[in-house]
Amino acid sequence: MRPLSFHSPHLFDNKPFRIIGLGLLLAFFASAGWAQTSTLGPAIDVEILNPADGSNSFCVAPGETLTARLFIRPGTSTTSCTPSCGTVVDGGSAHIATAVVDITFDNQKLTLVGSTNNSGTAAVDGLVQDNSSQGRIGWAMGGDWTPDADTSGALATPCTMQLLDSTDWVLETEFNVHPTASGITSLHLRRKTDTDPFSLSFADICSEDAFTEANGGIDEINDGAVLVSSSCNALLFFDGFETQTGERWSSSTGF
Amino acid sequence: MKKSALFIIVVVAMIGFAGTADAQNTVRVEPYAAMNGTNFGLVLDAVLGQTNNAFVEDQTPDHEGTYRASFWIDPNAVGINSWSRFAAFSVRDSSNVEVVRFQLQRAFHPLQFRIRLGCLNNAGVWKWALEDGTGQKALPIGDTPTFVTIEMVFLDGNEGYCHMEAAGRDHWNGGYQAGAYDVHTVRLGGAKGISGDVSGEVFFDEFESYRTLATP
Repeated sequence: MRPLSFHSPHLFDNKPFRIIGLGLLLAFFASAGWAQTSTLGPAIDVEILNPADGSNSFCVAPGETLTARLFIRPGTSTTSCTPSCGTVVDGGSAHIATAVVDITFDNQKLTLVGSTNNSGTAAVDGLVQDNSSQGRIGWAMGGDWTPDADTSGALATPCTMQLLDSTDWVLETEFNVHPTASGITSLHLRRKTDTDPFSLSFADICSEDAFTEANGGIDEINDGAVLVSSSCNALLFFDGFETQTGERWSSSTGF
Repeated sequence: MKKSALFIIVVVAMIGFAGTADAQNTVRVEPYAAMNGTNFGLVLDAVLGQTNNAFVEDQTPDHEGTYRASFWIDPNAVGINSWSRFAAFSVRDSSNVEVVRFQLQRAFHPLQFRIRLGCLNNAGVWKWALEDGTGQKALPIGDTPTFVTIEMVFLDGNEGYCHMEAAGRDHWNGGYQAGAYDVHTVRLGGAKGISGDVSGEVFFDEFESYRTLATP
């Protein structure tokens, strides 16, 4: 799979990317009026997954490579609307049109060496923001481009663009673990409630508002827990409490 | 005194009393408990006069005859009387017998925190990990983040083994019968034996456990 990257200095401002993403679409296809229906349903989930076992945990030896995937499960709410291009399109949390995600990592332990979109889904047009010098990698989806993920190319209309409507990984990242690294770290999905907040959000074509954690549009957000150890084959359990909870443990008393 | 003022005073007193009675030892995750470069750590919040255990428990081990765990601990100036101690890490076997206890205590002459590790033998006698040469079972640590590694082997044939390493020191005990036991669950925090004199917060972070010893 070929690596992709794109530099957009405004892509990860604190403004909701939905405004930028949908603005791009609307600039090309100005709307004279939209008809829509809607139903409520479960929200969008986003996780960092270990492709080796589907868990949120990684154990890797110093000097080795760590592969992680950004995984998105769309919600189940559906709606529809008719943009000015004239075709009824799907909306709701089940049909994601735009996304803004940012992942932080400890660049004293991990070095980002590559990233790849999932070419089998609408994620093929994901735009990667490499801020690895700051310990961050961003991923955004804001249109269906031809060529894929090339914003200088042709932009599909809202009536013909691909939507993220299936549960799947969207971005795969590869890190080298520093030879002298040890201990526990995390691949953290930044969110609005962080000390350094980020507007993690998704949007569809039809709805007025983006799907966020605050409005219940995003339900489950699971970081990747990483252990750097030379004894991964004998590992039983680890936790650095980076989930901000005791949920990785089997049980607790007095929590 | 007017009845309304008396009523308010009684209500305030009842709320105050209820608040005190409800406060128990707890564990929670906080950023200020983070150690070794992480962002969060576990806090054991011990309340004066409270003796309830408060801990997180891992049930991943499955009849392990060999077990190794490491974690960071910071006593954080927690108040403990010199004659008391509590298990900050505890191991139970598949019969729910406590077979390993890692205890935190505080000495006053000199003023220092200490840890000690005990492992149970088949006869039900605690074998304390001792320092070579001195035979001391209490290992001094600073009132600072300290990385601890604990190892244990449960075998008969005088191959039972108990080892603790922290603050540049090694304590161990070996050559005893321990095959009657194994590792089934482990607890971290206020695992056992918190006496009412313990007050304040102790921090824990970066817990790792393995089926093998660090050095076979």
